[in-house]
Amino acid sequence: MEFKLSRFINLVRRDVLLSRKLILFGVVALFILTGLLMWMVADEDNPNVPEEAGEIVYVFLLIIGGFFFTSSAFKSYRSHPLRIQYLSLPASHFEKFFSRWLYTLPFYALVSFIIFCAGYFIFSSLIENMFDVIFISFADLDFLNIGYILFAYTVIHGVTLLLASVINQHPIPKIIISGAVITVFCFALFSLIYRIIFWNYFDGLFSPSEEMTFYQLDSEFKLKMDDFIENWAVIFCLLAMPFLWAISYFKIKEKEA
Amino acid sequence: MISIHNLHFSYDKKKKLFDGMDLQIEPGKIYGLLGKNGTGKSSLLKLLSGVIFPKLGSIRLNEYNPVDRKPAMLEDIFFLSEDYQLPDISASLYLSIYSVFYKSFDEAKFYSITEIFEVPLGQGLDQLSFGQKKKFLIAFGLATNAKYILLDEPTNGLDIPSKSQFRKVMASSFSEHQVVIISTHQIRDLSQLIESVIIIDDGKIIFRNDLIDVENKLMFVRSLSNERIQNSIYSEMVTGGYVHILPNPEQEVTDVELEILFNAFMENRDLINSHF
Repeated sequence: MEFKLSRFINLVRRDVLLSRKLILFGVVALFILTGLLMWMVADEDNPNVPEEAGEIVYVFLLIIGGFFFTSSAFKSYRSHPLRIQYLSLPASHFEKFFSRWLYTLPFYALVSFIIFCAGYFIFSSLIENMFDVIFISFADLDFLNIGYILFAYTVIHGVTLLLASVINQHPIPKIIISGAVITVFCFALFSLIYRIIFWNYFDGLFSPSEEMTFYQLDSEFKLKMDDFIENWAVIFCLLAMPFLWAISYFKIKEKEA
Repeated sequence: MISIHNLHFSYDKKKKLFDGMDLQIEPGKIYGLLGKNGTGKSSLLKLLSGVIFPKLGSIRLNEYNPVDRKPAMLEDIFFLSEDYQLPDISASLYLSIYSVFYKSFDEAKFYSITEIFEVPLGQGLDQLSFGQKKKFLIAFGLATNAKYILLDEPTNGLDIPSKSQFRKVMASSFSEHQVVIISTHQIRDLSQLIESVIIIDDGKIIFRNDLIDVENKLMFVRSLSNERIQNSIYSEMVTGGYVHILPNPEQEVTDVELEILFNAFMENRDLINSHF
């Protein structure tokens, strides 16, 4: 794994200069999207805009916008000549991977957060004056939930970056389809395993038997179980993310024109 | 030095493109890579530049394995593919973005070559014609001073003056530490430039020799009559008569006609090879 700062800076400079119009367009589009979403969540019949409105806007901005941005991270793979040029560019595989990771995760999260903050300040006061509604103040937003949204984005980013590094042409629809197929498959597999393990709690394929509702778990145990599942989900994701990034790196390494 | 040993490569399992190819290429020469369509000329250049990987066997460019695509190796390779795409930016911006990746990039050389090629640098790269884009990339590639210059059909799309400019530029900017491999169908355009010939067929190198050796061992004679000259190894009808390939025991100096030599190899490679 080779890394040379001066070469990495040259690589980032190349990417920024080649995509400068796209970056500018993206920032403007995100800002406009913030305004549109805030206008949509403001209901004129209800003067108090729901508390979670800001979080909904941020979910769209970070997760949906970030998905499109990450899906397009490897636009240098879109055609055969571009692939040849990018693969033969004198920079290491790690530098090429790390630059993509940097733009799509920390950089995008930071930029989208700045746009969200600026958009929230500007559009909340604008919409409040126009439609006689009241948004909660920025300071009162639930930042814990924003943290969860960031965490969810990190997980989605890992999968999207991996698929984007593999798919050459039309990455966005292909990633959406692949993601949907993976989700359906995982859900079906989970349901099947659940059905097999707890076979005596089912009457039909998935209809619960009386026994399922007969036993009630101790409430303290249920709380502990919920905590355990939540913590393990977080730990699993924290382990899965570096794993996904590592696979993306190796996929870049073995990429051919 | 390029060293290829037991190279196996295919795009699909049914048809093998290279089946145990061996090749050694020394620096200081301009090589012409010849072969029929689909014999793998472009693929060989791609394998050398590390953008595709062999199925079996090894390729070494000095101490480097192209598969690793180490930055130090990539700095020493310039591969001009037959199809290419230039970004929608100015020539000066392109230069400032990409030249920094090549340690030995010579900006003065770039400008001097683009001047010879008459490439208009004042406009955006997307405004250039196909041939101008190609000349721009050739100028950039030569200015990198890379050790390995791999050009896939460089004269395709170039007009007649540009082809002669290309020969002039290549001859003047080539240095002894470099290896230039030119894959081409347009042998006549480059016959004055090529110093060594590599012919690929049936997944193997069927001929690899310097033109000086060909000149010493074979004689290319033109005649008006259609009668075969005695001892002729190969004859071919051309405009205004016939060209014959004859053995050259007296080492008489005649111009090597690469197209005729190539056709002779396609007809009877064993007979031609028996003279080397």
